[in-house]
Amino acid sequence: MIYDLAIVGAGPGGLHAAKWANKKGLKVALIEKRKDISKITRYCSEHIILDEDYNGDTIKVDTAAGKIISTKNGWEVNYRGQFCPVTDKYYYSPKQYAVHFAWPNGRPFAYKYGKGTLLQGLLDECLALGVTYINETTAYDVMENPSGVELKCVSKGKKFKVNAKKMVAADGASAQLAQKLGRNNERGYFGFALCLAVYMSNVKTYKPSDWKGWWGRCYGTNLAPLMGTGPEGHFDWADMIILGSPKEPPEKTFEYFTQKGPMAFMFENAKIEAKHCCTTKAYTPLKNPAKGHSIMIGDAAAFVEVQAQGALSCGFRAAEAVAKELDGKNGFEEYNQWWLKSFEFNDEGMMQVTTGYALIPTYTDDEIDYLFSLCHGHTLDGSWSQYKSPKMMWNLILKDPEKIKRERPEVWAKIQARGTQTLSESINK
Amino acid sequence: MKINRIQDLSTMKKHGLKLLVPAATRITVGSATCGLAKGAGKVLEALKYEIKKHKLTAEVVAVGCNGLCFAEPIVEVIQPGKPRITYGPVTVERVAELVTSIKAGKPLLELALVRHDEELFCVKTAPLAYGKGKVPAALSRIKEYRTHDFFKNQKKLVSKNAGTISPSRIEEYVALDGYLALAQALTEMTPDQVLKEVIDSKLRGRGGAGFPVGLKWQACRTAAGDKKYIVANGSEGDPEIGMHRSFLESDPHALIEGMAIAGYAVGADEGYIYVNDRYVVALERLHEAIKQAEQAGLLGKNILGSGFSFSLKVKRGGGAYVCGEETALLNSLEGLWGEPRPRPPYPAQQGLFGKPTVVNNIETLATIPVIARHGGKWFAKFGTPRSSGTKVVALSGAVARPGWVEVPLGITVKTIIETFGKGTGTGKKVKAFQTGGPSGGVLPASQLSIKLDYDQLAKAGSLLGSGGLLIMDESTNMLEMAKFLTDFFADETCGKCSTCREGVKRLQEIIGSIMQGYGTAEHISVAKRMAAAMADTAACALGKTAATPFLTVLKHFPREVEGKLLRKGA
Amino acid sequence: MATLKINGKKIKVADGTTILEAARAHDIEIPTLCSNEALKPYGACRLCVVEVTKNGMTTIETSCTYPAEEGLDVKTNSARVINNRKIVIELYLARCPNVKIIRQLAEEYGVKESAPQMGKDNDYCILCGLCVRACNEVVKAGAIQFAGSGINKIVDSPFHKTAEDCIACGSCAFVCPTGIIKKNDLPATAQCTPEGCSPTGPQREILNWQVEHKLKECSKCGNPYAPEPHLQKITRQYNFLPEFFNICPSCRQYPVVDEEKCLGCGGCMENCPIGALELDDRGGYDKKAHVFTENCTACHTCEDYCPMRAIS
Repeated sequence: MIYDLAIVGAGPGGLHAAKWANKKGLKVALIEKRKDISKITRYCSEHIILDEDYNGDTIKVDTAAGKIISTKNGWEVNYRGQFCPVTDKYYYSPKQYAVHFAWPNGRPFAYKYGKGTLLQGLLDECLALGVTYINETTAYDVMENPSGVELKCVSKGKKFKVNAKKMVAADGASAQLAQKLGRNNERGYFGFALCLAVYMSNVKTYKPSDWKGWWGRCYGTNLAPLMGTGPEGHFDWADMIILGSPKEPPEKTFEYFTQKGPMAFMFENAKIEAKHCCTTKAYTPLKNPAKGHSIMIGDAAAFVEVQAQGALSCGFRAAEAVAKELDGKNGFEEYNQWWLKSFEFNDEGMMQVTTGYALIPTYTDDEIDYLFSLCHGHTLDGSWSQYKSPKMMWNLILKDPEKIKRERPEVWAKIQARGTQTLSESINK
Repeated sequence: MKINRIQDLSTMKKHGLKLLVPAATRITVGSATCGLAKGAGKVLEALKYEIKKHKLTAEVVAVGCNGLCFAEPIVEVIQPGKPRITYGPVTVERVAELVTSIKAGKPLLELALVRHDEELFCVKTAPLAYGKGKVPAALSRIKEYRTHDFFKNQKKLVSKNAGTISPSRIEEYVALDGYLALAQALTEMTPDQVLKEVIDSKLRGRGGAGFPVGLKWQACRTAAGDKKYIVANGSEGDPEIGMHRSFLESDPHALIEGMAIAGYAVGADEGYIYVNDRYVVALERLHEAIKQAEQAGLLGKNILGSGFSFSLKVKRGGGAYVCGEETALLNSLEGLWGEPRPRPPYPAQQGLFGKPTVVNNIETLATIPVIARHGGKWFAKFGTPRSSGTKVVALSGAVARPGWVEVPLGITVKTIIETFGKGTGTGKKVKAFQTGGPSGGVLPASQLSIKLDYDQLAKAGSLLGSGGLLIMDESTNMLEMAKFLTDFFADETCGKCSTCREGVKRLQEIIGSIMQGYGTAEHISVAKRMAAAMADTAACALGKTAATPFLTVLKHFPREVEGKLLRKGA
Repeated sequence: MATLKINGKKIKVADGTTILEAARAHDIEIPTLCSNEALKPYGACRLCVVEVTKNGMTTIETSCTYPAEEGLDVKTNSARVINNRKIVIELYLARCPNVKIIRQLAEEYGVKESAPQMGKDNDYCILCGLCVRACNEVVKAGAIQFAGSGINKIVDSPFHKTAEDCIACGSCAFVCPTGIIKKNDLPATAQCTPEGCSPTGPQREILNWQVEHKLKECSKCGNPYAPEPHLQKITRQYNFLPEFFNICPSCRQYPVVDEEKCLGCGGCMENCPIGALELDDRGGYDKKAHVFTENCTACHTCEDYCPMRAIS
């Protein structure tokens, strides 16, 4: 039995690809390692980001009708779950100077939503359409041959193979299938991070419409702890997100932040309601994710993450690309061109932001206080974008360069030495 | 001119004949390597100069070698209506004189070797008529070729063009019915019919082993495979011969035509010609001929509209003797070490790049057009029942007239030496001779009446091989000859198999000891023991026959060897 | 399938079998020097020669290359075969009088020593080509080859300089029957100059190809267990993660999941290169990682990737 298309991963990317490939008349197999995809443990991308032209798209949310709509890529998905608007973002320095992002009139810049509900909804649609769903199965290896792909799969310890003419790898940031195809040899590699997400009730100063981050070594880690909206059904819980590594386990950092650090007071009466965790890998993006008989979509080909909306677009476009390829047209090249022009991380100039604007480890805690003090009291545009926000922040900081030169010459020297390296360059050096 | 149909050949033939028997004087210079080495290049230039000086209307054409190597540089003069006169040796100093004589209409008798009033061929080609009417007195003193020993005793089935046509003019090849065999095969015969003719001809490989060509082709034809190859073995490693070089320089189209017919019979659409890299002139002429054949549409896709396509590539070999062995040649062609491959499987089943391949000697393939056109049974009428046809024999060493001739197999060595070679030329008698190159060892003068025949020579401990005939006179020290030939094998062994590599080394040691006066009977018995193992266990014919020179010298000239041994108690 | 006779015994073999393989499968011993199951037959040593009668014609052939065809009559120990083998051995003795394996063969076949008339050398390489073939066919590093030709043939690194493509895997030394390939594993070494000594860590040297390479030390036991270029080659070839060879084979253990700490995130599973970890879904959010040891190669990658440090 040879499928037209095998999709690995029933995340937003994989499910959307399965739905649309099936609608285009392809015989689809969707392979997923979990049994129940509605029970999300990977906490990330549970926000719909409303920035205009974020990764080449502007997303609209129709809370009444329960739809998430892509205005530029041409899809919409049903979402029957809850939405929580996010209106204010705060970056805090050690002494609590804050860089504040918000639109006037409380217009949200993002919506927290229930990813599990979204995925289950998409899966139900796929099953109704007749997609072959092979769950509790890990596709751990792949081989390409002239007529298509062969996926090596294992389920409950038993190994078997799935053959298809084309493959969409939506297996996430671990990029395992890309690794097996040797595609990661084309990418720079930074390393991996371990992530811990803890849901807590009764956290002081917590507001569901806030998104907060703390920058400074005093908080116990170089990777800023973050706090966001709780999960669907419990937007009143706080979602504490800690990053770490095998040498700096996130558990330990969490303990410190909530019990000993400067923000420990927030958690005096807090109760841990649930704990989740995941890992993520950081590679430079794949320049041409569609090659041979396979397309790597979403996080599997990205620099870290594309967010749920990016994944939905990738899945949607990939289904079209595969259908075109099976029809003898050059769908893969079209996909690659769309990928390159849509996602900010494919723009080397954009990526400069990430290195140049990084705070830690360049600046000391005291210097971070100084820099943030220059922003304190202002409100910048409400933006989620990790590319746009630091840019706005630095524009504000550098509004009066003479002031910095005068007051803190050593800080100015560091700002100058930021360099013009692109991200890839700094890694591949 | 493009040959699209068989009739187009007739048109080209007419053009060609006008060049061969022209309206104006045609002067040819034998310009194969043998001639060039003797100064033919300069002679050609000098001729052009003199002709211009005298304001004569004459064309000077470089042709190949007609086998009269002892009289190089060879110059032939064809004046309209007059017999063709062959002169030699025409050195640069004699050119002015020759041209003056041409202008005067008088032959230069001193240098005249032979005349052709007309040339009749052993094959179906119409004769070339040069002279008309009675032959003038001056010319009648030059021997006519039909009474000339050198010409009248040859049977030029394969080499009729050599020395007559320009190898750079496809029209001249076609003039003497070139490519007609290919055209007829493609338009009137099926591949099976062509194969049958080759089998019926009983043609045996002209390079070394003498394996029946038809059987080899049949094995390749029936082998499974979508891609097949024809490979021409032009590595010519035997040290004393150069007739395949000479052939490529004189009549390269015969090889091209033969390979195309082979491809048709066997089901191959691609051929490789493997030529010794030292053969610079041969390679040039071959490349040129292939280009002309391609331009004429006689090579390439859909030849003569038959649906059969054939293309040729030329590959240069490094010149190793072992690469004359067909599987070592294939390895060399593929860019691997020039070492023999284990057999079976044979190249006919798994050859070049693992595909069924026919590897044949250049002369073998050049014989094919004649067989295809005249039929295998006709060819088998020449020669002997088990060694059919004719063979090009290169005569060298202690002979008055070294060169090459084409003779029917079955002729005796004695006849060749006396009729063609005209004796040793040194005043000394023949002492020994060698056929088939170093692998043939030596045979004594007492066996001069042996016939040039695959089986007879093999029975005598030698082989026909590629047709080289090396004559040694009484001044030859046979032990030194054994050393020379054994050293040759030591230089040329590829070194892969232990028996040959170590055996040849030890043979050198033993011969050296004997020559220095330390040899004993024990040395001889050790050599014989090793030779037996080499003949049995070596991986290819080189190793199997590496001891033959020493063994044959021992057998036929025992006193020369024993005379140098230490006596017991000495 | 083909049926043939070896020493009078009727034997049936699959197509593509050589006479040597057929004989060995039926306990008929034929001596070899250049044959190895992992390598394509080469036919260099000529020791394995046998008598083959086919269609009435008898020839001497190397059994390692000759296919076991239908109707063959093979004799592995006839007088002619033994005689030939003895001379082959004698020739080897003349070349390598002090090589143990040659002396053993000589004793077995009753060859006392090589005839003095042959002359004598003192080589240690028998030019069997096992090292070259192993390096080119199996390892596919192509670091060494035959050089020179004919009676001057040797095995060498390119231009007799350091073999640049050598990964120091030691296959050549492993497969060499005479022991002439010198592979030495050295403990922590130092580079010493008049200015002083700087430590260079454990190394492997293969003297014949003028090669020196660092040995990778296990991150658990510290043992220098394999040459780094060798491990790099395999990592590239199989697209392993860069951390795959941090742990030596002795230290590799199967992972154990602490279910109290495990949150069922699947991070270990996502990064397992061989699909040996799965999620045991017990309902709702109760999921635990489960190791299928029969599929696990103990590469320890999962240990690194557990956010809760639940795998040891």
